[in-house]
Formats: sequence, C-alpha cells, structure tokens
Amino acid sequence: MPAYRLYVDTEAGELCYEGVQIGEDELVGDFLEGIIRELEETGAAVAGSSAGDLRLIWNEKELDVSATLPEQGVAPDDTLRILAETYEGGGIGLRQSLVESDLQLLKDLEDRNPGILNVLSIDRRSLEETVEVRISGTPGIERLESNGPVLRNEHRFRFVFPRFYPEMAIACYCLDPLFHPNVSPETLFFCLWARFSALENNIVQAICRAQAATALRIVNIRKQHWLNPQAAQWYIAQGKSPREVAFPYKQLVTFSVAGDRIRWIDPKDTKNRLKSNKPTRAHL
Amino acid sequence: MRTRFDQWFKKAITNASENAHDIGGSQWPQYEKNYANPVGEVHIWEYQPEDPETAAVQIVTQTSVYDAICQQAHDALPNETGGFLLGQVGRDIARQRWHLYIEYAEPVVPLEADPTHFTFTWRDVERVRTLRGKTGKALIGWYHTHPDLGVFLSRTDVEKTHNSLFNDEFQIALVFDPIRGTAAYFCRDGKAVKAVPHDEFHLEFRGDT
Repeated sequence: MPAYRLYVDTEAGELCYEGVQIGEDELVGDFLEGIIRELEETGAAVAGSSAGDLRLIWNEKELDVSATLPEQGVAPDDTLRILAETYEGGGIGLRQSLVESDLQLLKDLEDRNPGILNVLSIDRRSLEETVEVRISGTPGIERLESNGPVLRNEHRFRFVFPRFYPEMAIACYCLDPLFHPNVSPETLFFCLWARFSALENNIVQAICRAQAATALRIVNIRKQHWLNPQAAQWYIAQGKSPREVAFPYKQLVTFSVAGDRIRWIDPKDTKNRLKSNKPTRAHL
Repeated sequence: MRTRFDQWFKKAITNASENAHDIGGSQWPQYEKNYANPVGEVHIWEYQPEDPETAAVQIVTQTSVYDAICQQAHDALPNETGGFLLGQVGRDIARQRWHLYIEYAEPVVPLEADPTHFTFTWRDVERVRTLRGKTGKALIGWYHTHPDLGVFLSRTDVEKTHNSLFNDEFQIALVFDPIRGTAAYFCRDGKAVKAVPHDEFHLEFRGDT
C-alpha cells in the first residue's frame, strides 16, 4: 500500500507522521474522516475544526474528497497536510471579548447546575448587556416581620455588564425583594464586590457571590457597604458567627469531573471561588 | 522606512546603562562604532509563566521584523492584517526555558479584512510551512493587528487561529495596535494561551524617512 507523509495540527502541536498508508482506491473524504477519528483515539485530537471544515492539501491544492489520491496525481511519499479552509483574527475589543467569554461561562455554569440556575434572558441590544437568571434552592430573606424573617427559596437577578466593563464591575440587581445588608431596598442594587478586577472576576463569580450572599454566607458588614441599614443592624444583632446565621443551600457547581481530573469552568478563578465558599463577615 | 521602535530601543539602552552604572557594572557603549562583525539590533521580551510546569520563554526579535510588521500594518489601515513569525527555536532543558529567535515576518494575503476582523486561508498556511521546509526555519507563531482596539487576544484569535495552528508549547502570538503604538507577545501558560498581555511595549510606525 502506498505511504505518504502527513502533517496535522493537533491539540498537542503540529505533528508529522511518516509512512501513513492510504489505499489506492480509498476516497480522500473517507481517509480524512478515518484519520481524524484514529488520531483522536490515540489522544492526538485534531485541531482546527473550530476554524472550519478540514481539508486535505497537497502541493498547494485542495484535494477533492470524492476522488482517490492517484486520481488527483498524488504520488507515494508526497507530503499531505490537513488544514482548515480559513483562519480568523478579530480584535472585537477587549470589552466585547470579555463579555463573549463571560456568556460562554454562563452557559457552562447553567449546564452544570440544572434545576438550580436558569438563564431567563440575555439582552445584547443596548450598550450594556444584561443577563437575567433565576437561582433556586437557596433560602434568602424576602422580608422581616415581627415574628422573624420570611424566607424565599427562588430569586431572580439581573446582571449588567456596564458600558465601561472591565474597568467597572459587573453590576447585580435583585428582581425580587431581598432583605439583606448589601441590597438597596429602593433600587434592589446588590453590592457584590469590595474590589473588582475583570481579569480575576467574571460572571461565574458574580452569580456564585449573589447566591452565597443571598443565603448570608457572605455579607459585607463594613458600613460603607450598607445599602439597607435595617438589614445590617438585624444581621449584627444576631450576634452569632456567620456560619450560624447563614442558611444551608446547595452551592452552584463550578467544575466537572472527568476520570480522575477536575475541570473548573474557569480555572484561574479556583482560588477565589474556594475562598468565597468560606463564610466570613467581611469577605465581599 | 523606519519605526519609532528605534527610539524606544535607545531609551531602553539608556535605562540599561544607567542601571548597570548604579550596580557598578560597565556601561553599554553610547557611541556608534564601526563593528567589523555584523551586529543587528534586537528586542528581547521574556515571560515567566504562572504555571510551574510551563517553561519560561525568552523571545529575541530582530528589529527588522518590527519594521516589516509596522509597514504592513500601516499599509493595511484601517483594516486588520497579520502573518507568521519564522526563526529559530532553542530549548534550554536545564533551566526549562524556550529561546525563540524571530528573524522573519511572513505576511498573509487576507481573504477578507475590515477594521475589526481578517481571515486568511489554508493557502497562506501551506505557503509558510513550505517556506519553513525550504529555509530550515521554525514557525514560531503568528502576528496580527488590532487597529485602535488595544493589545489582547480575542476569543476569535484564540479559537479560530491560535488553538488551530499554534499548539506547540513554544508557539506565540504577537498583537500590534498600529494606532496606539503598542504591542505584546502572548505565550502559553499551562494549557491555555494568556489572552491578556503581561507586558506591552512601544512599537510605532514613523513612516519613510
């Protein structure tokens, strides 16, 4: 069987395979499909498919998938390359790029948390993109009555990517009343951040923080972060440790397990996310 | 054709010589000397990854490469453009360090280009890889411009090109904003390429002189 030299881009880099055997009557399309599958099985996943359909290139020509190599003049020992049709570059702007990335992270987070996180809407029509979500299974105080707090387990939030993101932080608004030291009763603005860096913080953290803060796992009791003084005074008056005040809830899953490995939705944020899971009075 | 990079370079030399003086070392010669040996100007850029298992990178670029890129970027304005970086790759096993020496910029012929986007085809890739074979050089990475958009790797850059064509551990991307006159290299850190620059440098087209 005639053999060829094959160059292919894989996730581990560009590799060169010598002596790749291709039958004289094998159609290029069948070979291409087969070799891609074979490489994936050996752990050398072919890169480039996200750029477009993969082609078999020989001598600066794209080979016809419905014909054999000899029919197209390819001789044994010739060099073949697997390449995509086109490649792209695009500086859509750092802001837009980060928003795109955050929206992908949001989708990943929703996929990993069925029944807990629902994305209700994504609005990209204005200068400030907004995302509305519902978080379930998380107790938060809807209002305070004379006999104690009235809890609600479902909460809707609106996250806003400000016009000057990433210089300015992702803003969060409750869509349902929430009695919380860091939520304004008038505007329902939810103060999530004491400091913000878009390079370290993203929509995943914003949602995880909103969930943890709703359940009073994290509360910023510094006075400059009080948006509801009555709620802040109530919280302090409990006189208990944050862990005792906090309501139990099922935390959003921010990772998946494949075999013996953990894949974080956003690996660089692992440290911060782990930190935010520890209850503390002034962590926000 | 010259770029304002040479001004930046001279400033860097002055700083280096001042620093050397401060620590008692010898100063870099400030005067022009007629070297008998060919001496080229280079720019050195280094990256120490956060991931402990990723090797550090030192990039040495001939300033003539920047001249070519600046000219191409200027000619393409207001649109984006790009190309490939060719040179030599060395691996310092003892110090876990890649040494990249960039000698040529090989432009692509964009299939489409506008101020925020450009595409090139497999023909450009085939051409540069054939050139690589003929010259014995390594394909070190790619470069492209972001006119007035700032220096970073967009999602498109990463997914549609970098992760498709430049997955070797040492391969890098150079992004250049010809309007703002800034540029930066992007290296792998762990499994992914860093999309935000850790260090920008000044690189500005000055036109023919």
